[in-house]
Amino acid sequence: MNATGPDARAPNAAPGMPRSLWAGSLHRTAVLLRKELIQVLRDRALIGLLIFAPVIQLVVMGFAVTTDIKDIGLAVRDNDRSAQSREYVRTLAASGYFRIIATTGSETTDDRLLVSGAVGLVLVIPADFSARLLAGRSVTVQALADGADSNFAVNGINYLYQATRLYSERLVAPRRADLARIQGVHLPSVTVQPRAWYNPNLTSRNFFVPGLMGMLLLVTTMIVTSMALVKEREEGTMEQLIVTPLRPLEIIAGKLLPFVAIGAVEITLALIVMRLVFQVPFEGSYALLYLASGVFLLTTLGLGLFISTLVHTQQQAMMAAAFFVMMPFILLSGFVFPIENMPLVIQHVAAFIPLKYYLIIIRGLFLKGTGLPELWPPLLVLLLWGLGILSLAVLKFHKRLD
Amino acid sequence: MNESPAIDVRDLTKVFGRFTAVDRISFAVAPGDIFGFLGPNGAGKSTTIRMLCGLLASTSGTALVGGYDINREPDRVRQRIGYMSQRFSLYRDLTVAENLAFFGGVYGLSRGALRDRAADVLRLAGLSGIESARTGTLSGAIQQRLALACAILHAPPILFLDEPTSGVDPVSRRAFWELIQDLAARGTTVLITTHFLDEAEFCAHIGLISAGRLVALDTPAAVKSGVAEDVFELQVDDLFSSAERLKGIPSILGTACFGPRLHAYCPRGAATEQSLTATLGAAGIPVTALHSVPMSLEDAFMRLVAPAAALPGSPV
Repeated sequence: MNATGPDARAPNAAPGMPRSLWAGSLHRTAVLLRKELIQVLRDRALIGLLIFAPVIQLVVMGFAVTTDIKDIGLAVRDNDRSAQSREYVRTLAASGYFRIIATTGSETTDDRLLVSGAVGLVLVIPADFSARLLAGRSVTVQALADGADSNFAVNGINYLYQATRLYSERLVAPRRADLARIQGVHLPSVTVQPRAWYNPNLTSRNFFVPGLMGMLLLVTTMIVTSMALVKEREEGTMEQLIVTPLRPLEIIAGKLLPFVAIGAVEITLALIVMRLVFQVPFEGSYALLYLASGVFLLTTLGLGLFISTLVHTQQQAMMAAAFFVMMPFILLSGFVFPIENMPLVIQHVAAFIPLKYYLIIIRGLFLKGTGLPELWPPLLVLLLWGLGILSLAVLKFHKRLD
Repeated sequence: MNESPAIDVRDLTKVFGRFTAVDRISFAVAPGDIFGFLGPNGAGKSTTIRMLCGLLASTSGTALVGGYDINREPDRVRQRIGYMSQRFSLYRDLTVAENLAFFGGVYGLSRGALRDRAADVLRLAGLSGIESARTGTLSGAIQQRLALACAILHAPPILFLDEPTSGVDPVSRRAFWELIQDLAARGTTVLITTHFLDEAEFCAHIGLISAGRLVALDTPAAVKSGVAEDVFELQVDDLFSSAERLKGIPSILGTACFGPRLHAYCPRGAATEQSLTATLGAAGIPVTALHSVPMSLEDAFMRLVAPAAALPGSPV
């Protein structure tokens, strides 16, 4: 087909016909990769978004995201004002969970204290508190909790229970000893001796911060990938890309590989922050962490690519990522709310959220030191998810404009 | 044509939903020819060129580009064509050299070949010395020549240029056409779309497209002589009301506004300057001046596109 008479100055040996199919493909991918890297490194805003923003967020949110409740405002209305009631309040204060405010005046002020959020709990000690205790009888105190923040209220009431039981035990203990010594009567009782393994102080930060890393990895790599391809379409350069001999898979590889590298950098930085700033223990294998994260990146990059095949502008890409991926992922992955607490139907839905499996893996690695024998099932799910969404995206990614 | 054509389009059709953008278009372009694809915006020029480049799938019909079927062997077609889109489509955040290295690289040019070709095309486009400039900072005319340089980097035998001269000043337009003629003289086949009809004079053959249909296909001269009408240029006081009244005269087939003047079309040989002046005088239409003028491509296009009723509007 030389009838077309190529340009006389054309280099011989048809430039676009490489030695082998594979060599040509690798060459084209490498050329695209080089171009992508130049563009990413030149885009300061993007580098900031990819590298520094996640680290800063991890630090700030790592301090903020904690469910350990301390300093619950507790208003005490002591109607008894006896040595016993004061001793009881001292015991509550000694627990370390409460910030105690004495309240006098009319009972309507209690309501106002709760409504205004000045306190989370109101404790009412009855006037016959000391009289009944001295008479060896039981007494009931009333606790009013601000149920609007249910998590806070539940925790506050629990702490109140614990502190009250402690005080109560102290009252009973001498009597029990008397009974045993004088009358030989033993009262049976069961006591729980708790030991929290993997996280002995039950620090919620140790549980949240690794999850936060997974979350940030998802957000940055997915959004930037979806925008990278849509940007080419928006700026008209996609048209030029399509008429070149680049094949769809080569375009995808060239587009995604830089983000794999960036993902690896992000994980490393996050790891440093978690170990140094938050002193989160890391019991597992670093190799396994990078392997699992690499598998998770298949999902995030695949989702980003998939979104880019559905939308037309970078703004739409951002919206789709935020609304259809991030919201359900944050709420249903077990990142915030335990999946075990969800209704069965929702638990089945949560089973489709890939972040759930990544969280299982990294929390296991950080706190429990779990290894491949325990972690292969979630890893396999993650791998299937990643390969699935990536294949779907590749199938949807046509080298056409329409 | 004794050689097989470089571009051979057969019944090419593109339908978007219920809108037929390109309607059974057929034409052939000989190797080394400059083929001008002319028509107003929205006529289907870009859609056709995009199908030929493999950017859009055709609804029906097909085309051979460089001997290969655009639908069955798009990869072979891509290797043989250069394409310059309507919008500037190089990477603005890359330098000129980086853009050339990228596009040369994806076409498989080796490092050495790339260096030689890049220097060649920049010299050809008159752009030597701007290699390290960021592409986004260059002026429109330079960007356009750079886009052409990029499109011919891999020495494609066939070049598709989609409205390359829109938004470019007249001097740069002329320089650009010299570049294209230079390329054609070296054997490159060029298919170029434009809505500037005066640019048709640079083309060996032209196709006029209107509303997705090819209304004429020949050399520019033959397209003009193919319209069997005479053109009279009239100077009148009130352009629009005169145009309306001229339509009522049986020997006038149609009119069109050309700037401050009016063109009236009569069947070939049916009227002379004197007879038409007399006819208009009898009808009471005041005319300051009336001359017989040769048919321009604009005239031909107006008559071909709207033979029933030429609207008094600006030429395409």
